[in-house]
Amino acid sequence: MDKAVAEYIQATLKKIPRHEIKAMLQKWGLLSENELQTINFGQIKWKIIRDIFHLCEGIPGGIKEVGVLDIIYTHAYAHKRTWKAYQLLTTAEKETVFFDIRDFKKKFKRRLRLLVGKVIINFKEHEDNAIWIRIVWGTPYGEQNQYRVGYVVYHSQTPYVFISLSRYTSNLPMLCQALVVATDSHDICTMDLQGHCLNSLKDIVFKTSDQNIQTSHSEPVKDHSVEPESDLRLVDENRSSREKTQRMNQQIFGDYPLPKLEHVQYKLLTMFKSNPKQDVLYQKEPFRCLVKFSSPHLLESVKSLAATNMVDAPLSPLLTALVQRPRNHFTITEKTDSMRISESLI
Amino acid sequence: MAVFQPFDKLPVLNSATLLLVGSDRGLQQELAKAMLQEKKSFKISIHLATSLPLPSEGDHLRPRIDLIVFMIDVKTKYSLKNVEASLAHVAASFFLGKVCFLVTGVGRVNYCSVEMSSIWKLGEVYCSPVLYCELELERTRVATAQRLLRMLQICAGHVPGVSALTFNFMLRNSY
Amino acid sequence: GVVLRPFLVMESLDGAARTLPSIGRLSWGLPFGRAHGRCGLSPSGGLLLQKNLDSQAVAFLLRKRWALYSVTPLYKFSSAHLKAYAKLLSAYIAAEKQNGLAVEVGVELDIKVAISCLPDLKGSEQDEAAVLVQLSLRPQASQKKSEEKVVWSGWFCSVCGDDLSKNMPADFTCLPVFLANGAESYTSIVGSWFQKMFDCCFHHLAISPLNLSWMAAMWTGCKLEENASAMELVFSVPSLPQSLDISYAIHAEDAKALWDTVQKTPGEITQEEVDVFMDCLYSHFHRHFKIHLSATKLVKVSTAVASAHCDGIIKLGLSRQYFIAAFQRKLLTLALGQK
Repeated sequence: MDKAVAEYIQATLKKIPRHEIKAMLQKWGLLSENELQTINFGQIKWKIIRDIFHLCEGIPGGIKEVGVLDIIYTHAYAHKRTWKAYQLLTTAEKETVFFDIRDFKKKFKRRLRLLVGKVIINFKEHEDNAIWIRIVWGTPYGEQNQYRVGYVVYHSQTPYVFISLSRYTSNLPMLCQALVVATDSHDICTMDLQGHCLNSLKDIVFKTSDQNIQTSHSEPVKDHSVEPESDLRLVDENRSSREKTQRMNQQIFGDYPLPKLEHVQYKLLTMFKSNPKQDVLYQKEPFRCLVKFSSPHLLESVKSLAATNMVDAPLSPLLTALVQRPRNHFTITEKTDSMRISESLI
Repeated sequence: MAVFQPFDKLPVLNSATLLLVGSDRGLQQELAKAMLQEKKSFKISIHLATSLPLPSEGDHLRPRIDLIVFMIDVKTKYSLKNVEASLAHVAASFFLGKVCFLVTGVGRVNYCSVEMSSIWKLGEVYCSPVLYCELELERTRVATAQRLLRMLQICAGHVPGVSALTFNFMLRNSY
Repeated sequence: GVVLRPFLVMESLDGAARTLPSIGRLSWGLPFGRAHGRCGLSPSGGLLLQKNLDSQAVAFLLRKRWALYSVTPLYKFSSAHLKAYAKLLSAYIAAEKQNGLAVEVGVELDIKVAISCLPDLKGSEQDEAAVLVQLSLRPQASQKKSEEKVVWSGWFCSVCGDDLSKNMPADFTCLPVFLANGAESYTSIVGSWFQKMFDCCFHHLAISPLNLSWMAAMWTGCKLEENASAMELVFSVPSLPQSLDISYAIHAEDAKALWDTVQKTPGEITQEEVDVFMDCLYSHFHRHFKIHLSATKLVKVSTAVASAHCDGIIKLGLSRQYFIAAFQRKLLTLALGQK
């Protein structure tokens, strides 16, 4: 293994927390169990990395092997990257054909290399029918830079693909084309959904249209809504209306944990309607606004906001749309009395 | 539009009822708990509401309200607007000593969203005292609770020789 | 037009905790109570006397984030001794560095202090001229003589107006607003030197939502350039288990059109007009989201002209033309809300 490759292993190992290095190396499988035994995983991190570096130097192997270690790390730490959801569009007549993974890999590699030139591609299949693809882009000078990495997660039984490109987005069109060709689709489009939590994106995208959003391994959220009336001398005049609001919100938000979304943007292109008492603006053109909500866990915070006095019940259709069909962008236009909500495709 | 009347129900022996109206439920509950913890010689009932008018389904069960405290948080304009809208649902005769305004959040001047002059104007227009307290501090919370209990006693007629109106007059002239 | 008259009001504490440590603080503001809050700018008022304005004087102010402080009057400060003050401050910084106080990397190198006067920046003839303090890195002996890099700037300015200057006791200089740009460690060193030398007090000036709304209205009303950036209001809802931030941005032209219909007299702004303007924006938002923005906390206001954050940070816009309009009004507002 040449020095550059071993250095890249070092860089990858540095990212992994110390207590997980051994498990990931075992999953990687490049170093045998005997070899792993020779390393003291109790010492400080840079010494562990140094020992592994020495071991790897003696092993034949190329840059491709390191890619697999990187996929293992990224799979465990997917939340460190931003993922965007895309949908592959197929013609209606296409029957469900048995998915041939070898055919997929071959077509993907061939098309991508044709479009972009030299790239390194790793594939790894994970348990939930997800195919992880790691792509190392080349620079204009021809060399692959191990730090220009993109990831694709494709669930072969679905038309959905999740792409994480970090900063090097100029290769996105070529990547999309390669995916279209490899899957025998006729087009790909963005679902306008992005976030750090890959599992949440999957939950949002895979749910059927009628059900509430549920995560696959979750339990119903404990019901904290009923407060015991401890002191009879304290009377809550609004108790029944609050309970009614809570029930209505529960129907919208559901009982299960909500998927993690970090921000949403609404482009408002509606008319400004003033209070008749105030002698203000009358304009024929829309009042152009852009509203952004951001939070570490947006849907949960909207849910708790909806339980406060700051929000009038019933919940507005704009927020309901966010909860039921989570997206990052919405465009709102005027439609006679009501508003039309469309998910803008960017 | 139902309007709150001060004397449309009969009083109950040795008891008094307070109504807290305000948009911040957490603060209301804290103040109410502080009041309930105080030692008192009469039966007390505290009603919490976000705004007026009150839901009509509780009308027949509700006892006579002896004192209404409107809570305004200077940190949010919404609390002021909420109180202003609720005032329209109170009969004029209530303002003869049975209403007071409680203003919170004044300790943090940098969070101020409401002009103090509009609150003073409210107190003037409605001839009712304006009290200030910082409910986050236990000492002031307890002091305010005691003060309100005393006012409640007077408004419920438990203190011989002092009527709500007299007390109101004394309070306002001391400012 | 009516000229703003700030005056002193003594406010007493009544046991509640205050954010400022001083007891019985002075408050500079509009007379409370009966006034409707009408305030305006007379044609000769405002911070900058335009005829003498030097573009260089202005340039250093733009495109920087300034942290705001209020300063009590300085005792026995004289603009004739600025060079001497610079030497003393320089020695003080060197001494502090030796004591290991400053931790910033830049403080390892030699710091040169320059204190100068900006005669063009003042509210009225009676006001003190602004005083600028700049800390720059002295070039290393080994390097060739290169331009000194300014690492920190701070300036005092005065916008008291006639009344206050007359009432100021002798020996006191009134420079109530201090703006600092650069590392916090430098700000505290310079601040503590001034506090020791001139027996004054620096207080971090936060900007309340009330004042932020005022600024939003004022700056929205300024003349727009081509492609002016949107007027943005940022709200925070911290009381939730997961914090939520709401950014509400309105196209600059549409915001200005709304403000123009609200403002009755050009050059004058009343509190009622600001309230109506904000209410319109809040109710437009409410129509769509059913959320009462007035129940949340306004933390930041940003326009093409300038932006301000509730932590007392302001940033002035790019254009010199805007600067003149924004800055004078902005500091006037500070004098209003200053505590």
